[in-house]
Amino acid sequence: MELSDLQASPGEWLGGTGPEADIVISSRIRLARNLAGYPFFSTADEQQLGELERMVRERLLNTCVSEGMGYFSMQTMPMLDRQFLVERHLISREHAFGKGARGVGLALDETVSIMVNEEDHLRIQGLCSGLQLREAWERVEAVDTRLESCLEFAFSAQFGYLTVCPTNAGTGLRASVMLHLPALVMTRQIDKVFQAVSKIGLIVRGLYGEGTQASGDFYQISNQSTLGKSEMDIIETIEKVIPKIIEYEKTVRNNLMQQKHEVLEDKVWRAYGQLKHARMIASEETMEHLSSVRMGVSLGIIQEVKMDVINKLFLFTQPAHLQKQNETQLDETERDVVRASYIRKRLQGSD
Amino acid sequence: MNCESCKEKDAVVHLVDVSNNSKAELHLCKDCAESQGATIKSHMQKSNSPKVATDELPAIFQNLPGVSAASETETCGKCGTTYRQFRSSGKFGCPECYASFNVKVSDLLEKIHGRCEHRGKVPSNASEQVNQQKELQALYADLDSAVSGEDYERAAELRDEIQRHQEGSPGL
Repeated sequence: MELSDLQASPGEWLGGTGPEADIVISSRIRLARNLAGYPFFSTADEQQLGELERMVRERLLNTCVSEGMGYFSMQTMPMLDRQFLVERHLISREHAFGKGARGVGLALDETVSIMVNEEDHLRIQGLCSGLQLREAWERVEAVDTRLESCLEFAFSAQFGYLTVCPTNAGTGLRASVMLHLPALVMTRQIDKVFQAVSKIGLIVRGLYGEGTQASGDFYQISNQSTLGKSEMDIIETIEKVIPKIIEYEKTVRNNLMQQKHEVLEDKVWRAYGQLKHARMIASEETMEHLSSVRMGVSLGIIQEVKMDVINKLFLFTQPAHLQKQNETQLDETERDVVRASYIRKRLQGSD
Repeated sequence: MNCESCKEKDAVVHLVDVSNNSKAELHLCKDCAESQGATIKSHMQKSNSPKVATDELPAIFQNLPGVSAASETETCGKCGTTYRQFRSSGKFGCPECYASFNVKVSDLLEKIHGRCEHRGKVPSNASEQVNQQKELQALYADLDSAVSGEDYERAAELRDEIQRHQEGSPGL
């Protein structure tokens, strides 16, 4: 498998086919694992990292045949391709910019990705469209079980799976759901959501996870604690609260439609107008307008463009995606021009 | 109770460190706690301890009373990481560190997660001992549910089964 195989179509998770896909973009499960008998990434030397990487790569390729898994080394991968993978949510920013022998195993449909030597020796990730935490968990757990039959994981009865950072110990599980909440942001009620979820031990992050800003009105809600509860308990805690947030967003959207529909329509159509006609447009502005348009499409205000066109635009207007499509490197100004041109074409329906 | 640092405002952050059979306490107002690096993340009224994010870990350590200078130099037998190094980076050096710094690790995990015992997946190639431990944990969980559901007959059965488990004969 080549990276260019991924380029043409976005992963399954962006297909918008999962449950509640209007508001829930994707569900993600991540497991952290380390190998017994080896130093952690934090203290391993170059030789040990190399050894670890080779061993894990071999086991991955042997056990993940059904996923059509390909393995890619980070060290030899051009920076543009690494950024491409970050934009696809297949690797973290830390992994793209990290040092030392490391890589990623990728399933062809992007439902599973396995980072090798990021913070922990292995980070197994499952991504699904919409609200499907259990489906994502099943995929990841299956890979984890297969791998543990040929690799010994560092584990203690008392502390569970042993991780570099104690905040990941125990289950090593980070379960998260990515939500699109433009109405709550517009009416300045998003803080209420933050406060409500933090009371039940969940945390809210921006589009690319820890330390990132909210962009395009996307928010990731995930568990904070990983120890002392079972994996299903953690997943159920999130599953219970998501429908309430969805309901809240829908209620606010409806209220806007009923009581402020001119304001809402103006916001949505202006955003659409900018996207349809701008000759230069930066990333952040694009995300902002796409968010308004996405809400407009969802509410039926804009009917001339489909949801999946908008979903794809979120991804394909990102810097690395844009440059890979263009097949040349572009500086910032050139990117803004190319981005605007790409959006205009897509919105004209010339697929 | 007044803040032990500024001695002016009411203390709302209460740090308790229990180690080596001694207990040390530190009571701070919100401002002093924040300036000393302990951030209040969630509300204090619940019995679950305050949760700590990764980047706050080193700061939380700075102000734990009762952690003596001697324990700073405690070293992991396998990778050589000292407890002090762990405190400043927030990262362990190898799986053995967990055992090497055991008591402190339990306390720390309790502060971070509100608990310090694993309940969840166990690798299938783990030893019999680990599986027995898992069974015991499940029994405790069932006991909890039985008690809160006021099914005392079931609770009594579970209590007896737990006792048998602990005595080394896992049930009939």
